[in-house]
Amino acid sequence: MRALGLIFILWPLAAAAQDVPFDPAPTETCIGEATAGGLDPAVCVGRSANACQRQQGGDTTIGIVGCLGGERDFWQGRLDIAYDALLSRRRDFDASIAGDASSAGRYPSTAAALAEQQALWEAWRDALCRSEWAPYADGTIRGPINANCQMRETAAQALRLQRYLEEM
Amino acid sequence: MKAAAFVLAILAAAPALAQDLAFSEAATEACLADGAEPRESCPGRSAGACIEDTEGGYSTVSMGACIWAEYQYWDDRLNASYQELVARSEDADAENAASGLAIASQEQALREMQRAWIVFRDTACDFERSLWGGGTGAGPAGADCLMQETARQVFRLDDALGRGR
Repeated sequence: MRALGLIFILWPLAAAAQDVPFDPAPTETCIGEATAGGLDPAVCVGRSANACQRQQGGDTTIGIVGCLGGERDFWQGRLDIAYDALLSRRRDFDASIAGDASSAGRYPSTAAALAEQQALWEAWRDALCRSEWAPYADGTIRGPINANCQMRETAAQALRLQRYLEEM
Repeated sequence: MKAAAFVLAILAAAPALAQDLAFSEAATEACLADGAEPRESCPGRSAGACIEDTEGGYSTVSMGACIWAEYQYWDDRLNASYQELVARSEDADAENAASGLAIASQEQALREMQRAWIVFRDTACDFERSLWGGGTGAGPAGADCLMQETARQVFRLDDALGRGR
């Protein structure tokens, strides 16, 4: 009976947490405008998460973490697309080097170098976010701090990979 | 280590030039003081001014040396901010231990983070330089990457210290 009571207390909380909808449009629109104006799209990071947090329930701990997680996922999607495009072009480049008899075997795989920097980025991102929430390890704020760090750094890596693509 | 090897390569190519560089950190500091958005647009301003103000600044060697001069500016700031943060986390660890709180060491988390960052930065910048193949742009591109990534790490550490710019 007591457990049932708890469920009724938690029910509206759970429903509210799911009800804060994340919309990628503010960040997407900002990226489009920044790119068209020749500006750094880094200014756009967090636009959608901020808009999400202004909605009802968006300013609770669960709401904030959900909103930041929504934008993290948005940037992860862009990161994955940029990474796959880079990998495909690096493989083509490696194949063209391997096919050239004069340079075959003299150059390390650039596809492997891409994978290596990505693995090291992931390790560093987790170490960084851990160092950011470590001072608050005993508080509820650690969730939002970690979510903010994950979003910010995923966005930075997505923009980094995008820059590599543009340089090729 | 990789960064050290890289600077030697640049400086070996520019022994006489180093003294003639017209480098000043003023442009970058003014950009930060003006509150430019995003602040990531400020690193590189001083290197750009150096390239313009140095005689023959648009040569590959001069560009690399100007960018390297700004890298050193950011690396000095990074070391100062990092030492401050280490000291602060040591104090916090001691405080937590004194009050009997079983919380993981902040200093250890900070040191692990910085180690992981250096390895990532050097590897990422090596990768970016490799995109330029053996072309003459590879030197400045590699120096620019080190400078930009180091500046961003300064921003992160300064945020943790409670001062954004």
